[in-house]
Order: sequence, then structure tokens, then C-alpha cells
Amino acid sequence: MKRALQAALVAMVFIAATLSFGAHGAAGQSTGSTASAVAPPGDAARGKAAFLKFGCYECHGTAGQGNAFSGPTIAPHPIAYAALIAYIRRPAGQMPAQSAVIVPDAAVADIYAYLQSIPASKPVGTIHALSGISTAPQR
Amino acid sequence: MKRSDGVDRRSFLTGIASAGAGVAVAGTNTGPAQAAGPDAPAKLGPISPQLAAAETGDPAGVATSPDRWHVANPGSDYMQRMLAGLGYEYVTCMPGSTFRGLHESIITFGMNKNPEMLSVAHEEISAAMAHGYAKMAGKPMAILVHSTVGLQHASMAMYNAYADRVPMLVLVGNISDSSKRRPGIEWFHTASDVAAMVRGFIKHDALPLSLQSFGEEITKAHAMSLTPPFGPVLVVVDGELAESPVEGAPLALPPFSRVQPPVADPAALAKVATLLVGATQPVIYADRCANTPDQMAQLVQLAELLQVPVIDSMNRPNFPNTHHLYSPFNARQLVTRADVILALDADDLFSLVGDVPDTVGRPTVMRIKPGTKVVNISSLYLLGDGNYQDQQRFFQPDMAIAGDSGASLPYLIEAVQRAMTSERQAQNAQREAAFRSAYASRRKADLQAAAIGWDLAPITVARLCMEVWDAIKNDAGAFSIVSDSALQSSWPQRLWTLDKYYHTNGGSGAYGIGYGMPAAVGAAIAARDQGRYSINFQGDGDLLCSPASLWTLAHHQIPLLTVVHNNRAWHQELMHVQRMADRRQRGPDRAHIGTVITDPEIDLARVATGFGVYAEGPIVSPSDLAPALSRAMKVVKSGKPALLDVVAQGR
Repeated sequence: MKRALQAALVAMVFIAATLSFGAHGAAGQSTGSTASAVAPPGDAARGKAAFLKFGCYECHGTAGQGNAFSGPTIAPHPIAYAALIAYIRRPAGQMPAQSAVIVPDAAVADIYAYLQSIPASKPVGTIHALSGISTAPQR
Repeated sequence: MKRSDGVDRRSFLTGIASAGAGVAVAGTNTGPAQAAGPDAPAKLGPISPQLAAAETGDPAGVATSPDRWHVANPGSDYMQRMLAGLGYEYVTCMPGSTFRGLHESIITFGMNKNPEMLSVAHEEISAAMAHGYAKMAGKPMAILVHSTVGLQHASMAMYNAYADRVPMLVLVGNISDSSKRRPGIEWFHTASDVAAMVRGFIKHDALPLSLQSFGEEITKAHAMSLTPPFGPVLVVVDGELAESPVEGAPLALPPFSRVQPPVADPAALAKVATLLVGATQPVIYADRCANTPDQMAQLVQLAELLQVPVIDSMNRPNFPNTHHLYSPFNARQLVTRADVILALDADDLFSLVGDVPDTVGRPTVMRIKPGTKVVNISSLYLLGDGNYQDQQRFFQPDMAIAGDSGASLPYLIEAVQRAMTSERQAQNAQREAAFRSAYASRRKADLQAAAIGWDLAPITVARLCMEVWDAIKNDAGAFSIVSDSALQSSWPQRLWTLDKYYHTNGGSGAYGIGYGMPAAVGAAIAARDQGRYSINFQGDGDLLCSPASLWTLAHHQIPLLTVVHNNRAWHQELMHVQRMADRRQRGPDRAHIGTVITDPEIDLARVATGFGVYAEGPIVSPSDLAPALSRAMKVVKSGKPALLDVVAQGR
């Protein structure tokens, strides 16, 4: 247990960047499964259960909100289904690969439906604790 | 320590240098303990020196003791004076019989001032408190440790401090003379070489066998601890030496003056300056660089001279997060494109420029492009490495310069000023504009990211942090974050205003779990003494290692708000086991076994209340968080501790 928190901040930042979706050309890779460009029909409720069951939430948060330490934001507005399933099967970074043996394509489709169902965030200006925070450097 | 603008009070380089100088003598019968001895033995009548000598086997002791039942002028009074003379304000203590003499001298002879005793319930808490305190106070704390067993308890927290390059004085009780040990327990609680078990992660240790030697050795150890690279030092307090009377002439208190820190070679700094001025994409990586507020300001000056982005490791308060050159969150991009990298006291230079990713086969990959010049100015070149691997993987920079980077900054600034060209100077405005724009874009993106899942339960870590900020944002000069916030995605560094040296306090050093709560207690004591309250983002798993820290908080009335980031797991381990299950295609169904903290879920608020700390929780609904924070802050601002147990996302 005491060996667990091995990553210094720099490593943390690098890992987060490595795990980022989208910029890795994942869609062009072999998926090892039956990925297609169009998302097959999925069930959001089943997808939420699968998202929790398969441990996606551990790194990406229960609503795919992500974090800087272990997994990037994947919702709302998930990347294209083909890119998502390609990355799940053959990740370019340090994300553990999820094979179809464990996470069937149908489950991925359900997960995708769940990610798509997550509503857009509130506007920052409507959130009291975030309003008034300057984005400009102060010095 | 005097504070004017709030930033001149935690210098590792000042404040103690002359503390012991000029103190003349000790060991005379002037302390209050001698004046208040009980009169019962006198009723038994005088005992001849010859009889006493025959019964005690200690004829020399008779001459300085009033009778056979009492000891005048015990050696531990001298030890107390040494601690006072060296400037120790606090000593933590989980009581133990091997140092009972010094314990009594501190609380009675010294009247529990300089040092004041802080009561703790475990030696690991003692060491972690001293760790957190030293970084915030700018000077070390002493800890009293009960020989073998106490040092075993303290060891992990000492290792953290060693890896974090933090000074600490460990005083270990022991009874070296085997003929003086009482049968039984005292033998278990004595070792022939008690420091052996921790020698791999302390800078220095000493076993003084006379009081004069004690005075000299503790002075030497103190100096070693405070010379870069800083680190824990250990001095054995011999029980017999402490309890026996001082004999002969009064003992001298050795004068103390601080060792001047090692500074980088001027010729090497001139070469570094030339490299930086000639670079098109330079970057500075500041690790354990700024050990004083002045050094933080000097790093800003250096960065502005060249308009160079600074990757702050956050192990020290190196750089204000409001500055346009503050760049820890795009470190990968900066390092990948850099043509010159200046590292300042980098503990892990390899992981700055390369990586061993957690994938099958663990291949080594490099991030820097061929031809990138890497410079490392570090005091760690002066520290050997052995069994423990805290200095990380070797990487050979183009220029390896031994010296304390913080102390070298003024000279590097001068060298850059000399090397600066008008052509390079002319580029600064354009560079500054680009970095200001990038800063604003990043900060805007972080704000958007913080809003994602705002009303989610479990509460998002972003909301957890930002609700705290909302509760304290008008107290810019009044708070310190005394915990690491890496596991909270560094949201405070992303969106709070943290532009004072005292606003943050770094991390654990060696990631030994159990650091968080007690280190926060120690740092909060220093912050309290400087007129501030403190904030501690606290993992639930970490809290369970040393929950008794809460009792010390309550006992000493320390204004600390602890916000428990309760993900009901050792979440990092959950992810590790999940990774193994994924890699082996065995499914995730069992990854929770041994990694989650449920069945039953621990009522941490009740635990805290039991220790005497105001507490609320578990807070599950996001809308309940802000009102709870408001109530807790009233408690904290009244000078007392408070704890909120917040059920939150894993990361």
C-alpha cells in the first residue's frame, strides 16, 4: 500500500496527457473486435451499470468527468464511437486494454449510450463557487 | 519569528543561526526542579557518603546529590538547555521510559517552553508532524522517540521526511550501559546500535556517552540537518546520562552557527546562462528549489528575465500559480519541444525527460528530442544513495552542477543578466504575450472542466475543492493549504489564488501513506503561530493510518479544517488491481476485494468527534457541502479544529 502513490506530479501530468483520447489516431487502429464507424444501438441504463461494473469510473469518474491524475474527461460529448472502441481495445497510452472477452462490444455500445446521455455541464457563470474566478494571469 | 508581509518568517536560512551563540554555561543547580525537591527524605536523617557509595556503587554521584534518594542537577537539564539554545520551539512526545529524564526536564526544568511538548499518540505521528512543521515554519521540530519500539514506529514517517529533504531532530532514548538496565522491559527497549534500523534514510546520527559529547553532537547534528540537502538527523539520549547528576565543572553549551549552503560554481552558472539566453524553447523545472520566500521571488525574477515557463513540481512553493509563466499542467508539451531544460534540485530528473510506462514489458521511453540540452543544479549530488532508491533512476544531464539551486539563484540571475543580448531581450514581449494567452486559455479550460458533473453524487473532486475555495477566498493572507492536493487533481493549484510562499506546503516525499493527517497537524501549528488557519485535503485511507492525530489537534487546539476526500477505498490500489485484472483478462469483478473501505462504511465524523474535534458527515449531497463548510469555518476561525467527511469521487 505504501508503494502505491509512486507518481510525482510531473509523472501525473504526463500520464494524464498520455491517456487523452482523440489525438492518438486510435480510430485508424485495428480494434480486435467488430467496431464500426456508427455506434450500434445501446441502452444508457445498462451502460451506466457497465461503466461501474467494468471499473471505468475508477479513472474517469462516475459521469466520465475525468481528472488530471488518472483519466481524462470522456463525457459529456464523447468522442466518436469508432475512436472510443478502438482506444478501449488498443490504447495508445497507459490505459489498460479492455478486451472483448471481458467487455463485449454490446457493453461498449451501452457504455457509449450512457456517455451520450450525460447532460451538458452547467455554464460556469451560473455556479456560485466558480463565478468570479479570473482566467487572466494576475502578475 | 517576526513577520511583516507574511513571507519572511519561514526561511530555512535565517532565524536559527545565532540561536545558541553566546550561551555560556549550563549544568549548575539553578533550575526550578532543584528548588522544589520534596522534603520527605530529609526526615530519615543524613546518610554518610560512604554508605551511599557502598549501596549505589556510584561514589561520584554522592558529591552532587543531596542524599541517596535524590538527584540534583540531572544531566537532562543540560539536554533541555541545548534544545532551547538551538532554537527548538516544539518537541513531540509519545511518552517512553527511556527518555523519562529528559521528558521531566522539558516540562519542569524548562517549564514546557522552548521546547514546548506536543502530546501525540504514536511516533509515526510525531515524525510526520515534524515533517509538515519544518516546511511551514522554516525550521525543524524535535521528536522524542522511545528506543527500539518507538523508532520502529517513527521510521516510515522519517523516511518520508528524508525523501522530501526536510530537517528534523530525532531524539531516541536508549540505555547503553547494560549494567544499568533494569531486568525485562529495558532490555527489549534498548539496542546496541539503535540508529542502525534507520541509517539508510537519515543524514547523520550520534551516540554521545557524556554530556559534553551530547552538547557537541547535537549541535553538529542540528547543523547537518539544516545544510542542503536537508534531512532528519538522530541523536541518542542515553537514559543514564539523562538521569544521573552532572559532575565536575559546569558544562559549556557549544555555540552554533549555520553552515553556509553549497552554491553552484560561478563558471558553470555562466555557461548555463549562455545556454538559456541562446535557447529558443527553454523551460525551467523547479522541484525542491525554493526553500524560502526569497527564493520563490528569485525564481520568478529568473523566469521573467528570459520569459521562460516554469514547471513547478509542487514539492515546494516554487512559483505563484497566478503568474503567466506558471506551467506545471502542460509539462509534457514543454519538455517535448524544449531545446534547453534547466532543472533545479530535481529529485527525479529521469521522469522529467523520460518514462517507464505502466504497460506490459515496462519499456523505457524518452520525451526529450535529440539534442536537447539538460542542466541540473542540485544539492543531491552531495548526498550518497544506498539501499533506499529515493533518488530515482539515473539520468546524465549535459551539465550536472552540485549546489543548492535555491541558494544559487541570485548568482544565476546575475549570470543571465550579464549574458543577455539586446536581440534576446527584444523577444521577451512577444514571448510574454504568448504565455499570457496560453495561461488564460488553460485557466478557462480548467473552469469548464470543474463544472462537469457539478451536481453529481458522489461529489466531484473539483466541486469539493472549489466549494472550499468559495468559503475562504476572501482570506488570502490568512490560510495555508497544508496537504498535498495531487490526488485532488491539483484543483487548488489550477483555480485558487496561491501566490504566497505560505499558501502551500508540498507533499509527503516518499508517498508513505499516513503522512497526510499528522503532517497537516504539524504544519498547522506553524501556520497558527504565524497567524493563519490551515486547510487539509485528507484521504480517507491515509487518515486511517493515524487517526489519533485528531486527538493532538483537539488537545492543542489547532485551527485546521480537514476536508476528508472520502472515496471509501484505497483508490490507487483499486486501480492497480483493476489494471492487473484487465491485463490478464480475468474481469473486474473482484478488484474491490482488499481495496475498498466498506462493510461497514466508517463514520469518520463520529471518529473525529470521539477524539474531541468538531465534525460533520458523511456529506453525500453536493448541496449540503457549502453550508457545512460555513459552519466548520466558524469553528476554525475561533481557533479550533474541524473535520468534514465528504463522500466524493475516487479522483
